[in-house]
Amino acid sequence: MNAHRDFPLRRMVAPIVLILFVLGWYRFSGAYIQTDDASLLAHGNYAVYVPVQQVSAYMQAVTWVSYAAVFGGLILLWSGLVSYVEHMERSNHG
Amino acid sequence: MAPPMILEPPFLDSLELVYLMFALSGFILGWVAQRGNYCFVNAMTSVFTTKTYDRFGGLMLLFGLSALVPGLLVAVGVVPSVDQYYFNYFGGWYIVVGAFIFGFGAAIAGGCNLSMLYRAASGYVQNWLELFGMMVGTYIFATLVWPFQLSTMQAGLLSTKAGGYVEYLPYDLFHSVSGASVGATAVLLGVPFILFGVYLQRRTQARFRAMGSVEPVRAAGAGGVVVSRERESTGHGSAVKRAWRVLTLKEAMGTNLATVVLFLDLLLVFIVGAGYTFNYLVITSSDGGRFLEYILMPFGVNLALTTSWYNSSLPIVDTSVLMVIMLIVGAFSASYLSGDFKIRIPRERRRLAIGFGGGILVGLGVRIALGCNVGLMWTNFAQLGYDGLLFLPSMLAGVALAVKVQEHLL
Amino acid sequence: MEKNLQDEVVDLRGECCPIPEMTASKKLRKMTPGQTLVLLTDHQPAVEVTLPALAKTLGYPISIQNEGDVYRVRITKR
Repeated sequence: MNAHRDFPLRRMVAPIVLILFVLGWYRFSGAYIQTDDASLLAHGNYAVYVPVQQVSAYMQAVTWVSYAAVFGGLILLWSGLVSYVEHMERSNHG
Repeated sequence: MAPPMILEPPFLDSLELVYLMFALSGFILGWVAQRGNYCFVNAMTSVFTTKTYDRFGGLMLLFGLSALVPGLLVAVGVVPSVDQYYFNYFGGWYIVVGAFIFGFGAAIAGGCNLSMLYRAASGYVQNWLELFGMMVGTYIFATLVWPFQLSTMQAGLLSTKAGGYVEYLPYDLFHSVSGASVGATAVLLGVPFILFGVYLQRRTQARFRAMGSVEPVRAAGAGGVVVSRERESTGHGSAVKRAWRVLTLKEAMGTNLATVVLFLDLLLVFIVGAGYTFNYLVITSSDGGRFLEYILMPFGVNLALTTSWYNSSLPIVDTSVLMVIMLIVGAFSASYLSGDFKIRIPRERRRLAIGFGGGILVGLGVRIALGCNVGLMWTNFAQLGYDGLLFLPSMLAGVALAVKVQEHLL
Repeated sequence: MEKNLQDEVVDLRGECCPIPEMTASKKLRKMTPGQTLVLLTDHQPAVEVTLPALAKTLGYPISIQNEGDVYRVRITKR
């Protein structure tokens, strides 16, 4: 019981938070940034409107980065889980 | 005749790659700043609290390298000069005032924009509140300060009316943007800062040697990990061992190593972003400005349509957005992998309120100054502008005042 | 006499720069020679840089012990 409490659970929770953060960022970018940019064009606000090619380039880069970050997060989560199992085994065997 | 103001991309022909390189740059920035405990504010507070100058010397080295090498790249024609001066800022009273407010707020809150982000990513709750405070401060600036500041900029009241080559030191000194004038300016600006940085570091070390100062005794306790570096004997073997410990995250990066890597990071974006975008490191237009816009978007509030400054000075997205996101990811990764990640809440809860209040001042200060310690001060050295030279002493003065206030608050 | 030489313990967990070094500096100024200031901190830069720098500036011996999630920093005033 104590061994379970001794292991810092943040080692498993933190990668999950990272993955959710990156996924959330990806979904937000797709759902809001593109539509907002179109809205700026419709309102004639050219000072802060960004050309479509740039927004597309941003989205493409976000997609690639999200893949990399999610895979990286999964690796960190896996290593956290392995550490937890090793910790529990060491504690059970004294 | 005025020099041309049309950007010329010298290398990449893919916007996606430009965005990716900025993402990589952000990751490196976050990782190295976290591993090197690199904080501009800490470098300045050390001058007043522990009376040590080695970290401040590291900053001087960073600025000197950032002025010298990009300048020489432009001088030999690798990067066109227009890509160096195109985004130079409008200099004026607001740089001095904003930098002072920023320095004060950052020292009170517990970190400059770079350290705020990497500490937030490492689990410091005070810095999360500083970040939110920064968004609020930016909004206050946009609604209350910007209309007045814009009028002074347009009328040239204690400010120039244009950035670009007007703010470009080679043009100011030699009335030319030729390779020779740019190269000469890079040397004139960069070399003294490098020498000053080396002098400060050597002076600090010499003082410690003269005092016969004792090296810290470090012991492994229950955690089983020996803290950081002992003074090892010189020699190839110990240098290799130290490098391995740094690479495997068992040891923090030294100040000078972090300085060199950060400088190379700046050089990366200077080259790959040239001709496409603001080819320098910028943080606060995203974390202080855009992030509040983005947070409010799902609630149907569009600051880019309704609010001054947001509707005129902040494109809805640019390369800095991805850079800042990856800075957070990089810092988190470094913190997690080195075992440093932990949610940290100050014992004194009032620190959280101080962090938030300081963050408001940070947001206000950076927007008034048109940028922060990274996006304006450090970057402006690479731009061969003079706004960084105005920002530096003003920020230092703000930090000095904050140290006095902190001493009373303790 | 013994009471004056008792360690003074300050818990600075969760605090970041410049609080650890400023707190240490202020406490050390008020302490008597021979007394030891014990700081509990989880702030890496304080342990790596600022507290050792403070101790070096003042010429006081410093020892740092890693106790898992927290570092115990001992500075003895001379």
